[in-house]
Amino acid sequence: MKSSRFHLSDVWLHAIVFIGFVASIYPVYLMFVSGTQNNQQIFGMTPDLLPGHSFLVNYKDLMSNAGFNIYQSVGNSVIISAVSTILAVFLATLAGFAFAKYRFAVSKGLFQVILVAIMIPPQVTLIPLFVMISKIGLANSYWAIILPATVSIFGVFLMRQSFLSFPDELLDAGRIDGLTDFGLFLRIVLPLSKPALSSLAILTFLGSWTNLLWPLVVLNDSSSYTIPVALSTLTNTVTQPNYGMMMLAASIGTIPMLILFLLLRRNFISGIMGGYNR
Amino acid sequence: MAMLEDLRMHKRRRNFRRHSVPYLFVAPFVLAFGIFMVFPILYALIISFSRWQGGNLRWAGLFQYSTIFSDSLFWQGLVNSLIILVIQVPVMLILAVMFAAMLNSSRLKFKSLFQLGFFLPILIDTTAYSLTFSFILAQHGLVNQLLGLVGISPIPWLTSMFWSKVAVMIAMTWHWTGYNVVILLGGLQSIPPELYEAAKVDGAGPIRQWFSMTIPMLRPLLVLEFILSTIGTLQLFTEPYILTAGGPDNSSLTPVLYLYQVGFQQFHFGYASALAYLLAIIIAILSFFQLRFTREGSIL
Repeated sequence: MKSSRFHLSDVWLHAIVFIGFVASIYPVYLMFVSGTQNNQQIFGMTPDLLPGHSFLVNYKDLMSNAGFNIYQSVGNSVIISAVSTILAVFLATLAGFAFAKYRFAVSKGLFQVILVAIMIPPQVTLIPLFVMISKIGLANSYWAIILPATVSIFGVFLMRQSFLSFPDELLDAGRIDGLTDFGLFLRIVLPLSKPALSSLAILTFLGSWTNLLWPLVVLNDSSSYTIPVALSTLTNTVTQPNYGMMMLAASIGTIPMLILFLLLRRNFISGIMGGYNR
Repeated sequence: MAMLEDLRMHKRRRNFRRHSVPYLFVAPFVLAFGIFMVFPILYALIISFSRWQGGNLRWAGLFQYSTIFSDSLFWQGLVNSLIILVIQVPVMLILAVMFAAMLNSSRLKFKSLFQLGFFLPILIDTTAYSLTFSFILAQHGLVNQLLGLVGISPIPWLTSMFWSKVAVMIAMTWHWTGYNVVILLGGLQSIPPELYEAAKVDGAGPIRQWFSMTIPMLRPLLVLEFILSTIGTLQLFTEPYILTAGGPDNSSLTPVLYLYQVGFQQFHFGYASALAYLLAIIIAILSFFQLRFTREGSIL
């Protein structure tokens, strides 16, 4: 039953939510629109809200003067984020399952070590990791970013937490049917843990996609840049930067994430909600 | 007899397999954890007690740590982060609770469209939105143009020692409010509607319901968000790096930005490692006290 009564407070509700809504989407709109404008338009006397005519100029500028190939950066980011996510989720899920469903000699002690490690911020490992990665000659490679990202302590916690409530009867039933432990994990546990898995995958992917500090440190060759590193180099100009070109680069770098979101919309929202509401 | 022996053997082998299973399951993670986490953490400790010269470590004892105490830049960075923390995190969380409640309201139309809008900033990577804000907040940028329309003279967002911190806070709030809204929405949706029915029957008005039911139910999530935001703010890097490069005059310098400059622009690995360890200790202490206070209920 919809009530047709008119409430003044409803107007306020919609007005305030609308302001928050506009504040949230407007900068994104501006980013895309500015990619088609030149500096005069962007900084004009009145805000110019419509697309401009400088798209081709900006595009040419981006292709020839940016110092990197934006499409290569997009490719690097996609590969690095995807592989990091798959590996991190896989390792964390296996370990989380073991911690939740098995009692073994070192499980308590090991879990405590991991608990302590989560307290230590990632900046502590920045320099030693840089030394290690440089020494084994992996700087500027995908592996320089992927390998350290395979360790997701948060992931182990999240998966352990979700497996704790996994019914033991199902596992026993699978054992009686002759499944090995790995078979149980693959054919019973994983298919029934999709919400937690997609939660972890999405949070890991977002984190990897947006990470700037570590890639900035180990990627020095423009052909290996991820999107954040590529975009960050655009601020290093002596003269006033071409903001249109900068925003075009930022827009192109944002599109893959938007596509991914459109494909997996439900999982994204419930993934972020679920990651913390446990 | 032989059959019994066979059975016993079989059982023993099965037992062995059964016992080795959890080790095999944790092994890949533990291997990566050891190489890319435990080892670097210990290595960093050694580096922080040394001087790094041309790829060689020279023992320097507590030299690096004692240098920090007279290093005004580090402390300025820390104070900057604390100022940002004390202002930005509460503002963001209040906005987040407010908008989450409104977005959850049954009276709101176009709910999913609005929710999508609040979700959008999460999808924009930190560097991209920092770049966008660097011209939204520029001298002739959008914000100053809008302020001009209502007769306020342009604010030097990125070039004044006072406003540079505000600029960083605005950008962070834009990006992270939606994230916290989504988490809180999840919490709100898990509150059973019968509770509200019961409260209504008992004569509790909306305000009473809000403060004595909704907020207490959200408390664990708010505590979590509060602690995560604190840790995130103390590790702030991308926004000041892109927006202001820590300037002007180090007014928006943060500890991690400083650590990056020391480590990877001046290549003082020993000193940078000591900075990292000190930061880790500060974060641990702050989180500890936050947990303590929030558990006793004196903050939330």
